[in-house]
Amino acid sequence: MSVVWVYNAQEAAAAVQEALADGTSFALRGRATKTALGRPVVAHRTLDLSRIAGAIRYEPEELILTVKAGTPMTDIDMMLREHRQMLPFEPPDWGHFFGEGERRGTLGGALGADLCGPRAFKAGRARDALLGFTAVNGFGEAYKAGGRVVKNVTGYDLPKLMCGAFGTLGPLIDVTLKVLPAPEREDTIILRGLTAPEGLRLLRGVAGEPLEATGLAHVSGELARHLEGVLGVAEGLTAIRFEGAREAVDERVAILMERLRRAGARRLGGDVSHDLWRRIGNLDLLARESGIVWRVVAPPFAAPAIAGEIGPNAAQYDWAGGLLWLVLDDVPHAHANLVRSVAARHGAQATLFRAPEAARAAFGVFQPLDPAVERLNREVKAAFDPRAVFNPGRMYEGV
Amino acid sequence: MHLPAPDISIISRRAEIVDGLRAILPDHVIADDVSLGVYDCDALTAIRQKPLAAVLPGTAEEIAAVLRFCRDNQVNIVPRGAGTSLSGGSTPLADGILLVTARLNRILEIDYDNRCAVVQPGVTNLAISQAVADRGFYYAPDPSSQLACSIGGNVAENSGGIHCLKYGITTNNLLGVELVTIDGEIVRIGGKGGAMSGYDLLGLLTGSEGLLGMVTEVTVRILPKPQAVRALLVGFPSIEAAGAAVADTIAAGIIPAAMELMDKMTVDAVEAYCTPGYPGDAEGVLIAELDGTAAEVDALISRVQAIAVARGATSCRVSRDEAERLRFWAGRKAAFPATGRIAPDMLCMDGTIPRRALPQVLHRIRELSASYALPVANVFHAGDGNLHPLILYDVMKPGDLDKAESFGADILKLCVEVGGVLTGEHGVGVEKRDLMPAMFDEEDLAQQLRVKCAFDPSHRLNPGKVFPVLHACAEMGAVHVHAGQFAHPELPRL
Repeated sequence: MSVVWVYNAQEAAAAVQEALADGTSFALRGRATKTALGRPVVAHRTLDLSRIAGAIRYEPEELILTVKAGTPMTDIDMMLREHRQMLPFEPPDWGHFFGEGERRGTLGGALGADLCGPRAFKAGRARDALLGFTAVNGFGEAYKAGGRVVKNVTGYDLPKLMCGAFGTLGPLIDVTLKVLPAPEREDTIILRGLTAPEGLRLLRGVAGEPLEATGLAHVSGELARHLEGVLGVAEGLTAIRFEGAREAVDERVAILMERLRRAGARRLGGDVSHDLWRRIGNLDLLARESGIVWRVVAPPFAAPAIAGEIGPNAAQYDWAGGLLWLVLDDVPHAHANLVRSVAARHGAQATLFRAPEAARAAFGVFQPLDPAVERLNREVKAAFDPRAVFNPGRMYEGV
Repeated sequence: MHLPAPDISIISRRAEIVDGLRAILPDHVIADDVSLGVYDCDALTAIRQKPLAAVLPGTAEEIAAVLRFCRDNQVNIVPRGAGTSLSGGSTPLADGILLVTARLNRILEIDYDNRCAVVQPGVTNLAISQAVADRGFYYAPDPSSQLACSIGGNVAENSGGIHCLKYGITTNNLLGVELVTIDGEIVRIGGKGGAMSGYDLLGLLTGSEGLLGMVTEVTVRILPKPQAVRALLVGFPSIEAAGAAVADTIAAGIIPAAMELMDKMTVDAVEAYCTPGYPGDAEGVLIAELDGTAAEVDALISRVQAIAVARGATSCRVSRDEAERLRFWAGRKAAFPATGRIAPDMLCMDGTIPRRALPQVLHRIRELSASYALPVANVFHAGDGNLHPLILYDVMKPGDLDKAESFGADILKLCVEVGGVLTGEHGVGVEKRDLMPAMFDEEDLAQQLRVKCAFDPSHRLNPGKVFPVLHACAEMGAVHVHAGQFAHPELPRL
């Protein structure tokens, strides 16, 4: 597949106009770390966006960062760290999980996939942090939407649409994000040996208390054994993270430790805590399991029932149960319908997250949509890209 | 600020339209002139217009039937919740019905296991918090009108509030909606689990100002109430010094639950109105609220206090109990009515600026105030740069309203010039519609209009709001025609 390299919005727009003229389509690419996520794209050419990179304006005191979308995440991290700030949504690095190598992804790719980590249930997903952008649409026009301030309701909130659109609405060129001060301290409380329903009940309880936990995860024993060398844990692991000012973290940890000490709770300090949540967010434990991986976003209370009805080989639960990662045998035809119907019954959304290309092509990747919602999705796609120039079929057939 | 010229062909069919609506809703169509007077404006009182009729459905199915009827009979629709929009989001149209959600006022479910509440759109913002208060929960976004404003209106306007610095605005606290499209289709978007596969339609609908569909059910996240909340009341010798203290606080890594700034004119007005005990000698008064666990709040309060003192604070009080904290807020919350008392009429503006531009913008507002000869009071959500200049005028004085409007427009253009936006939380509505080109180019607006066309190709929903010009949808999707074939031949197009 031939590759078109573009360096700015004008070149990207020109490339789209050419594609419109000759009726061809593009697979969009940043650094190609997430091509295994989504339905396989069949396009005439690749539009490489990785050269549209670099900082435009970083205003730490305004909590605002404007960069070109092809900027590598590692550069963003470095910039933010210098000012002790962070992206609120804790973008994970799934490079290793997808076998593409670590620390290579771009911000544009992170936004396109609406990446978000363990903190997202509290601090929001990528879509909650994207304030404004410029992009190129399928009419071959550069345009902008949103703004460069944290509070803005001028016009439609198109930044929301671009997050999680997997490039099907066109390439992001410049993006403005809300950033937050990095916490002064982080600590985690872990418990061992709880079953998933027990662990999740505890996590939901903590989520319902004014303790402002920023990580609420449970890892099944099958996955936790991969942490044995790190934590000496080989059974179900339940983890509760606190971040913030020193006094805040100390007080919250003390409150919870008081209650959980008898159950064998342990406190993990900053670096160990940080490392644990990085592994959870980056799916390091799941990466060591073979098989199909499903990602299910669910009402938290439904998590134990969903897992119970599906019966995964291993599971990682995040967001107090609002996010499930389920490992199943490498036979998607045997469980795709089951997973999706269980998810639908519980008001959840299942994504065939890691599966061979043939399986993703055959079974689709994202939760099937109701006909009315599907029609709205197609209309939205047509509003940005009526000739299906961008990533045809990445999300759904025709979208 | 004006409404589009009404379509006489719709108005001339009024009797027939009212009959048609009564066939759907025999007892809930208001069409007599006197009763319609109740509905002739929202909180943007500068524009008054009686609607063709007011329709008060009680179910999503009834709303669907009304929308289908309006689509088939080419009648415009203006959605209305509690009518508290400050931008004219629900200003009626002479050639449109007002579709009122007042009867959809039930809390359907409170689900503590999933930390959410499912409510009908006519439920007030505050009623949600009250319904979950006994279990120690609340709904975070808190617009000043929360006692009256409806959650459906909050979704339409993506409402903010005093505490959005830390807890986000409506869009960050919404999990799902039920939407009725102009075709009368009832669609569920999101739900208790939040995120939904496909495009983030929930995010798109939030803040779409009633132009894309009618929301008939809302699922919001509820949060556990913080254990401790305390506020600081700080007087500064200048509003610039107060602004600097806000910047320093954020630079120190502290995100207070709220940071509100008032200028001297506002402070004097509220003192005269409800004597909250604000420092009379200060040029700028800052309220900073910290919440969390007890020790955390104490620690953060003293950190912010130290920052304020370093920036030259002339007075600094920490709330000792809940009564005192509420007293600190009483003045701020009364800022609009208090200012309203010192002038016959008031126009409340709503731009957002980068915080660093505050001194420059305030200086320019003072200059404009002098040249227009209209006083202005400034209230400021200082943490997120959302500025509310209150322009005082007298509608009985010839030319005063026009002057106030162009003063307001100058302020908003200034906000855009310094890198900000036209509206931080009140919406575009009618009020800022014609200013949209100050912020967006033709291509930008065209892309937004195409999204509008995806949902409402005949522009029946809330026309005359948000977009300065409504192009025909076929024109917007010109590429379809050039291509010789439509992308989705199965779909009806205008």
